[in-house]
Amino acid sequence: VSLESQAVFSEILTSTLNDEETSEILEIFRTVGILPWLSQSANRCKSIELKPLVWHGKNEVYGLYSFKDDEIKVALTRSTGSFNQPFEWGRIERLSHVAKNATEAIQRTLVHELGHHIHGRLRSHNKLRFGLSLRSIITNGASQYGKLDVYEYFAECFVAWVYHRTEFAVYDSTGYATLSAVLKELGIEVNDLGYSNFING
Amino acid sequence: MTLGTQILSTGKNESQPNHSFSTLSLELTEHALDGILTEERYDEILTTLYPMLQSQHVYLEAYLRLVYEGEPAWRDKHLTKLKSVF
Repeated sequence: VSLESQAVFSEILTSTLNDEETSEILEIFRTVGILPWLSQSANRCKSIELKPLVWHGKNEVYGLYSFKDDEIKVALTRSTGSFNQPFEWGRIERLSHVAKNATEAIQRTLVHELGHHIHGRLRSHNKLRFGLSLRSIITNGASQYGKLDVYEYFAECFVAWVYHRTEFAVYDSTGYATLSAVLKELGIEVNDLGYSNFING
Repeated sequence: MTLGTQILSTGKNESQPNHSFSTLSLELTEHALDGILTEERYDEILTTLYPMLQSQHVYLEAYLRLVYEGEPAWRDKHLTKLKSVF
């Protein structure tokens, strides 16, 4: 783990992987460029857990975020079919399923949970916008999972912002504008990873 | 009568499981974060949404997120039930 990452994660990270494997997963935070924001004491989450799956089969759980506990949990195993899927906006089950391999899928889930964490931080800045203002636009979400409620919509929007920003602007312009304003309000600047494995749906 | 029991008694939103989930998750989460959610209402919302989980209209992951928005002492019975079924 880089010195920058160590400073952010040393007190909050629990991982069943070795240091090298853990670093590979967490590298996404540096790649996205979120570490400067996340390292500020007011923006840190309480804990990040990287552990094997607890829930299996049809009801696999890839990640969990608790607004109340401010905790991120991400599963370290992915079944076949939960990655390397063709991306059709609005039809893909989750944006993590577009990942090219299991490691990228885990990283995308980490970004999704980070999206929840950012949403939680938004609450202290603008409570009204936290939930209600998104209700009318969740049907434009990039994934089926993102259409479930405002929280999953916001988290999937953040994944879209990181990985598929061009498509996000085209297919959900209102969500794009909302997230853009939210990130600006919170002082968050993240890189556009510019993935292009997109099939026009 | 609460929204949860209205949905249960009228079946009004049975054809729109996402709408019901969205509405109740918003109430549970916002009230939990405002510190005004009661254990009774928490149990009621999770019980209302449970059939949608069983029928796979709701993802376990999203349901679990709601379980974890309750006070730690409230969660165990719901987590135990989920672990015994899924």
